[in-house]
Amino acid sequence: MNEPVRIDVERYLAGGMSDEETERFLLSVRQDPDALALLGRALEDQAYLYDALRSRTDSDSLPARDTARLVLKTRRVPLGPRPEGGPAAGWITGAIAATILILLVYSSTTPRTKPAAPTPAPVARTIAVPPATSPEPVRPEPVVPPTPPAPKVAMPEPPAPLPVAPEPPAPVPAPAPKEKPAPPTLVMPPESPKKSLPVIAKIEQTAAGVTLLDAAGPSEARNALTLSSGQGLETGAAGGALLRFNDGTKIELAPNTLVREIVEEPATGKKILLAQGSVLGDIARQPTGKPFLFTTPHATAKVLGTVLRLTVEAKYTKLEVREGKVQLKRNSDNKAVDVVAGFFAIAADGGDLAAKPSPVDEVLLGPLQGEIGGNEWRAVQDPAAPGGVALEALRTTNRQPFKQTADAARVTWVFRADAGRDYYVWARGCTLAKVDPIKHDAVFLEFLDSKVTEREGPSKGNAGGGERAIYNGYMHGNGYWWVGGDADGNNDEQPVVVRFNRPGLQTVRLYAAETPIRIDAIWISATQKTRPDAQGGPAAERK
Amino acid sequence: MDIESDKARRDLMRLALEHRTQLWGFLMGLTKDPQKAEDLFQNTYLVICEKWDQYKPGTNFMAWARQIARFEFLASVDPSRRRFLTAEMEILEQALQAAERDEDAPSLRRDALRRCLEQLPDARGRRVLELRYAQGLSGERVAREADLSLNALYTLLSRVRRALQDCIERRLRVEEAGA
Repeated sequence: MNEPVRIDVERYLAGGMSDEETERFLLSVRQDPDALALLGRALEDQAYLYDALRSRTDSDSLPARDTARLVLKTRRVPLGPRPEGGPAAGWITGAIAATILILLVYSSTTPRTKPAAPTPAPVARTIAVPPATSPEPVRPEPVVPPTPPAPKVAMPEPPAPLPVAPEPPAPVPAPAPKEKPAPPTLVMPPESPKKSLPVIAKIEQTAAGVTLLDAAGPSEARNALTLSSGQGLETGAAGGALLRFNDGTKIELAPNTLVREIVEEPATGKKILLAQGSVLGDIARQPTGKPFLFTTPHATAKVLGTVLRLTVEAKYTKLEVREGKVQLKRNSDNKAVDVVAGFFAIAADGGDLAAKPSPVDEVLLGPLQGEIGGNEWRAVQDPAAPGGVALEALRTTNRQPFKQTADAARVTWVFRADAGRDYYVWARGCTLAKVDPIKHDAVFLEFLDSKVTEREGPSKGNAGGGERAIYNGYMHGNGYWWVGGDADGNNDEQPVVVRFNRPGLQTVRLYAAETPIRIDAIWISATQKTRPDAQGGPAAERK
Repeated sequence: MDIESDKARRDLMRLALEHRTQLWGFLMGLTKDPQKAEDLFQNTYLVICEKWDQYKPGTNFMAWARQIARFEFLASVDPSRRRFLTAEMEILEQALQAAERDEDAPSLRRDALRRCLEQLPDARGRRVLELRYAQGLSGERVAREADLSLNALYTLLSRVRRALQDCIERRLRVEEAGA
C-alpha cells in the first residue's frame, strides 16, 4: 500500500478533508480492495487506540464520575456541541462495557411492550412529511428507510451498494457471526435417504426435474427432503432448488445447475462441489478455521459469512459478492484474490484474477433520497403515489427552453452508475391541473457530466439540450404513470437515453417546467427500454 | 418474560459486548468526534435494548446494529448533509467488512496493541497519539500542540500506525505459534 493512501487515511480519520476531498478519497478507496481494507483496519484500530489510551488515562482520573454519567445516559441523549477533548472525554473501555451492563439491567427490567415486528426497521419513526395541503415546504426525513415507489415489485439490491441506493438495506440478516442458531428442533424427515448419516441440509423448495445424486443412484428430489454429507443435486431447465443448512445458510441453485457433492466434515467445515450452473449463497457465519468452500473446475471460493453468487461456465468461474468478503483462489496457479461486497472476480486459465466493481444495472430514486433546493419543490404525502410520498411543485419561475432559476429550485440525487453505457430514464408523475392540463405537465431532468439523447418530437430541445431532457405529457396518464421523455404523441415510447462520461457517483437534478405537478420516482435502467406499468419498478433481482 | 426470551436477550447483549469496538469504530469514522461517537454509541445500544426482540438470532448482528447506528447518526446531522453522509456510510461499512479479521479475536488484538503502544520508540509519535486519542483533540489541534504542519502530522500518524500494525501482527504471530 503506498504512502500517500496511508496519509490520506489519517487525514480522513482526523476530519481534515473537505466534502469534495472526502468524496474523491472514498471513491478512490472503493475502487481498490487493498485500500478499502486498509481504511477498515484503520477504523477498527482507531477504536482500539481510543480504547487503550483513554482507559489508561481514565484509570488514573475519573472512574467514578464516568460511571455516574453512564447511569444518567440510560435515557436517550441529545447530541450537541461540546468542548473538544478535556477530561470528561476520557473513557471508553470501561464506559462501553458498563453501558452495556447497565443496559442489560435496563432491558431485563423493561417488559416487552409489543411482539416482534416481522420486518424490523430498527428505528421505527414516522415520516415527517406534511399533508399535501400544508403550506410549508418540508425536507424528507431520511431516518426512515425510503419508501420504494413500486410496492408491487421488490426493490432491487443495487449490484454495488454505493450511494443513495434507493432503499437502504433492511437491517436484516445476513450471515451469523459466531453465534449459531439455537439447535433447530429438527423434525426428522419422513424419507431421509440415509438415516445413519447426520442430516446437514434440507431442501426447502424445489421444482420438477430436480435430481438427488446419491451413491445408490439418482432419484427425484422433493420438498422437505433432507441431505446428508456426500450427496449432490442436479436441477433441470424447469427450475431450481433452495437448500437450508442447519446453521441457517441458504443456497439457491439456479436451473441447469449441477452440484456434484455437498460435504460437511466436523474437522474441516462445509464444501460444495459446483460443476456447472449458478448458485446464490447466503452463508451464515462459519466457525473459525472452518470456512464454507465452493470448489469449481476453475477455482475455490472460501467464505466465512456473506452473500454471494457463483456461476460456473465452461471456461471460467465468476464470483459476485453482495455482502462480506470471499477469497477466490484459482486452481491453475493458486493465485488468490479477496472479493468484497459490490465487487466481482472471474477465475479462468490465464487472464487477470482481480476484483472489479460490479456493474450497476438499475437505479431507482425516490422522493426521500433527493435533496430539495430552493422553494419550488417539497415532499408531500400522497396516497395516490405508489410509494405514498411524492415531490410536488405548485409553481415555477422556470421557462421553456430551460432557464436556471436564481435560487436553484430543484431536487438533486446522487447515485452510482457506470460510464459509457446506455441508461434508459423514466420519471413517474402526474399533473395536478384540472384545467388546460396540457400546459401544466412537464419537468426537466439534468444529468451532470453525461450525454443525453432525446427522441424526436415537438418538445425535443426545450430543455436546452446538452445534459438535459424534457419530460412532458403527464396529462396523458390516468394518475401516476411513467414518462420516458416527451409523452405528447407517444414520442417517449423510446425513452431518453443517458450515457455518463465517468464512472462512480453521478448527479441528476429535477426542475419544474410546467406546474402544478408531482413526481414520485425516477428510474435509471440499463434494460427497461419500454414503458413500465404504472406500479412497476426495477424487478426483484436476487438472481 | 419467559426463559427463552430472557436467554435470547442475554445472548444479544453478549453479542453487543463482543462487537462494541467495531461499532464504536464505525461511529467514530462517521463523526470524527469521540464525544459524538460516544453519544451515538450509547443511543444505539439503547435502541438495541428496546428492539432486542426484533433481532433474529443467527443473523448478522453487526449488520443489524450498524443499521441502527446509521439511523441514529443520520437523525443527528444536518438534513442537508444526509445524502452525502449516507454515501460515506456505505463505503465505511464496506471498508469494515473488507477488514474483517477472522484469524484473531478482538481481545487478542487489543492486548497486543497495548503492549505495542508501551514499546513505541518514537516519542513524538506517542505524543501525537496521546493528543489525538487520549485527549480527543482534532487533527488541527494536535498539529498545533505538537508544533507540526498538518501534512507532517498526517505523515507521522500514518508512520506510527504502520509501526503499530506491524508490531501487532508480529505479536499475534508469535502468540499463535506459541499457542
